[in-house]
Amino acid sequence: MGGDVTDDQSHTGQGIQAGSGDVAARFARVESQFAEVQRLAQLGSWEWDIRSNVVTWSDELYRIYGVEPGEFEATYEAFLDLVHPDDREMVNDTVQRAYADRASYAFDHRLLRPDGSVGWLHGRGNVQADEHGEPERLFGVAIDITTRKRSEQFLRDFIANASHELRTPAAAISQASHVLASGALSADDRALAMEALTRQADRLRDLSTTLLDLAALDEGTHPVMLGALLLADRVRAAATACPGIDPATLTIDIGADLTVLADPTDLERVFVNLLVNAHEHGGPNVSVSAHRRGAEVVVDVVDDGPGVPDDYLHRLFAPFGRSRTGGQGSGLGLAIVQRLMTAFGGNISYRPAMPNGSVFTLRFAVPHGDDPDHRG
Amino acid sequence: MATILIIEDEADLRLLLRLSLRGEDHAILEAATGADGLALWPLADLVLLDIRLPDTNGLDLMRSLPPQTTPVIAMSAHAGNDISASAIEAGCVEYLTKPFTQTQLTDAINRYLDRGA
Repeated sequence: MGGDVTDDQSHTGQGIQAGSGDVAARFARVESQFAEVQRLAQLGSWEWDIRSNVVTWSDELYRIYGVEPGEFEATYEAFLDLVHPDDREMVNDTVQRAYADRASYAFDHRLLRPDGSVGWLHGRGNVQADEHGEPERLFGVAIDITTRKRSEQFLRDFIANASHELRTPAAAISQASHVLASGALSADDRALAMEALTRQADRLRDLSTTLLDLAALDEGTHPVMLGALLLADRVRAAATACPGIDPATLTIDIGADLTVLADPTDLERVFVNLLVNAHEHGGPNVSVSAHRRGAEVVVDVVDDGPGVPDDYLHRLFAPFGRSRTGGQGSGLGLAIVQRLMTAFGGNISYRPAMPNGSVFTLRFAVPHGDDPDHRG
Repeated sequence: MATILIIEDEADLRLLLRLSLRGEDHAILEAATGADGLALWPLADLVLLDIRLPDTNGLDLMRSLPPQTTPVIAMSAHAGNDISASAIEAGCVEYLTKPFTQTQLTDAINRYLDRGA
């Protein structure tokens, strides 16, 4: 019997040990999952035990704020110091109000990390009161919404720029309609006004088409018919389609049998946009040369103008990236070129020419086989 | 008859403004850049100033000048209260967002030419 008891105790003891081990293991697993969920969701959490005045931050919250657990004392004041100065008052007022009302709060605010970078957070929190209605605990979460805010800003800028570009020809069309309706014009002035009206209507149409093309390229719905194309023919066709360019200022050095994988209409458009860009912002002399390198055809479009100012380099291929520097273009030419090159399975890059000027380098895939398609 | 200086880099819009204001019996001077505009400025009774010019920003140009007795009406395709307030702050008497109607343009011009007369 004694043996039974011993056995039973031993059994029970082992059972308890096994049970507490289970709980500990499960707790550790939940804790690790919790941290993983926070990391994936880019969501940090914090808790302030008011009575003991202890503030606890989750690991992800430290990461979001760009501070190290060992080097940063998580207090309310230290948190406020990391809030962007322009948002600090709003954040503090909202939290103080929630505290006074024993209520919850939600806001978006910027933070200024110790490394100088700015991020956006969505914060929510709740004040918990004890049975006497006294606040005893604050709990909150912060979600990193920097990427979303950047996209929203990009969209706002894009709409503002697109609106600006559309308003300019609209202003001329509006003036033209008034002038032509007034009936007080000489025949010559009437002809001039009609020409201006036609030009600006064409510009408006081209711009709206380009905006739609850009959207289609970004969505991946722009149709491209990839085929083997003779590069030199397409570059010459593009040069002919740019009426403002003096042929004497353009040098084309491309082997007659060099082929690239691209869409015929869009390939011409790539070179029209690059030649117009070189003419408006670079120039006066432009050369287009190409050679085969392994499985690629590398094309350099070089001009001897002033080159791209450093300030604009980071948005050179962004929609409306250079439109503010003057010129009559829509500011979408290089954005379209970059997206078309991607659609061809190639790419475009920029580097300054020496001693001055610009080099736009296009890399095309080489078509399978050596049978150039003479379509179009 | 008043002399109006149009500083606008968009050639078609400049032409159409000229034809339109000439119909209102104004003499017109034209410039496509800020620098050319400054050279003609002393001859003008009123200036129509585009904000985005190839060589300068119209508002920067205004800020670089001593206080003006010649009324300056700024124009730009930028919409919004910010730009309108900046134009007034820079010394312009009015701001017109492109596209503007003929009535908006002539009303604005007449307001300031009457005052100057």
